[in-house]
Amino acid sequence: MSKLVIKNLHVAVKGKEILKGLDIEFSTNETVALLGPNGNGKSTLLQTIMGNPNYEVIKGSIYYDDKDVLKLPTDERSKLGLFLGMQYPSEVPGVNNSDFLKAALNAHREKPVSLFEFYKLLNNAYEEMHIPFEMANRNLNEGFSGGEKKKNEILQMLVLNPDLVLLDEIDSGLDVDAIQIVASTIKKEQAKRGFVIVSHYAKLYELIEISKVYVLVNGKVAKVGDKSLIKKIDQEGYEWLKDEGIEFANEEKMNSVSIGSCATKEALKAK
Amino acid sequence: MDYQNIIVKNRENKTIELADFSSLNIEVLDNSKLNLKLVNFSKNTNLEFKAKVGKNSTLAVIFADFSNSDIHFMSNVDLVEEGANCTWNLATLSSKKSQKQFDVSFKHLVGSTTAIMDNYGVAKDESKIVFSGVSHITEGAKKSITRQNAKIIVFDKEANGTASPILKIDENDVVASHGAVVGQLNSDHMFYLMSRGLSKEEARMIITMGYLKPISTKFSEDIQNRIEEVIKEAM
Repeated sequence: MSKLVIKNLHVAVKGKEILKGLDIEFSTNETVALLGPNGNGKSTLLQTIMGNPNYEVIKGSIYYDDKDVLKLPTDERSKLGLFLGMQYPSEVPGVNNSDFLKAALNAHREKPVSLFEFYKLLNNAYEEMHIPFEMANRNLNEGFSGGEKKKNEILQMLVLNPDLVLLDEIDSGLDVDAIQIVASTIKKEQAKRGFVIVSHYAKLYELIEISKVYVLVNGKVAKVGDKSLIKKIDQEGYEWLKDEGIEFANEEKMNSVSIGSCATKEALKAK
Repeated sequence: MDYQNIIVKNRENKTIELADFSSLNIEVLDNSKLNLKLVNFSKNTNLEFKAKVGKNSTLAVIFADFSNSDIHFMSNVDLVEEGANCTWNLATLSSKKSQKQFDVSFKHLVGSTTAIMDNYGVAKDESKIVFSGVSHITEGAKKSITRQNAKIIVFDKEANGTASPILKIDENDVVASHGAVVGQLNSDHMFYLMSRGLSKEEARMIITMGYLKPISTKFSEDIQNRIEEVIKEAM
């Protein structure tokens, strides 16, 4: 079992601090549900763990066992066994899906994968995800529907076999059948690896085992609980947390100019 | 300068693949077609290309330049009779301190002629790529279609790309368009590929190969492999 330990993490995006001293731990033998209102740090945490250059770490540490994750480039983090299923997977023009998967798989191995082994692995993954095998020859995510992109993320997870899987709103854009497929794959994989799952809907969480629930508010852990916490939030939202004295991240002040008024005039007035 | 002459006429349909040339003079006349595939890995600095396309004839050019020297390439394609058609695809990779300029011009001398140009560039290190040229539709060349499309990816801070296509239109009843994009390597794509374990170099390589795919796949396998090698080396 491995552990990802995050201490006092402060992260800014475009100069705005989103994570404000976050302490949290994930391990490869548990499935964690990560909840919280929009803009309070869930995606920021996952992107930072993977090393997205748009997220600036101001302070704090991330260790995976004894490895200092923040010192490693993104590809090395992947090789440690971390995997991020993205909320918005990129469409990369001209890059063939299976060529890419093969290159990625080989990056994780000392000896390149044999053609036969790769074909078998790929075929199984496509079957498991109910994606037609012909899609392997299409360009990476190019022209894929929202649901196909998300299923393709899980497929990549199956091929790369990581130890700790971070899934950022993997269920958004999925239809009912696709959610079932993704959930049953996660459920099957739960014994093999750890999951950190961000979702806004209780549906996905209901279909899998959850060991722990964290609620992120204003860049910190505001609440820790078990599956019953998901139910409460699903029914009541997050407002009740305010009654417990938890402060939310400042919502952006809306531009006072509304549709219907002369925007130029209003902007001039504001000056 | 000594020109290498290629003449295709009388309903001929030819495909010619040429590696390393210095100056070419092409004629495609009366209902003929020429598929011309050019590759340049040489050290020739000045390259010249002249072509004349005649009645109901097509000149399809694919030009891949992967040399590591300075280049000034001059091309003039004249569409001289009705139904003359030229499609032009160019890909170039520049690295280190090389300076590469491609002037690609088309002249529509009569009506119902077509010229479609797509130029792709990848500029690395401190190198520079310039795409220029004039697409000229002369007076009276009605129903002509001309399009210029230029794209350059700038890889490094010191690298430079300029795309300045010019349209010169002296006739009203035509279709003309041009587009130019000069941009950096998409950082989201880089992050996505690296998050799957590809190193920075591998990710750059795979993105570049994908970007050049519309052109590179039109060559024979032998040349495709050579292109891949050169790009790998340049990364």
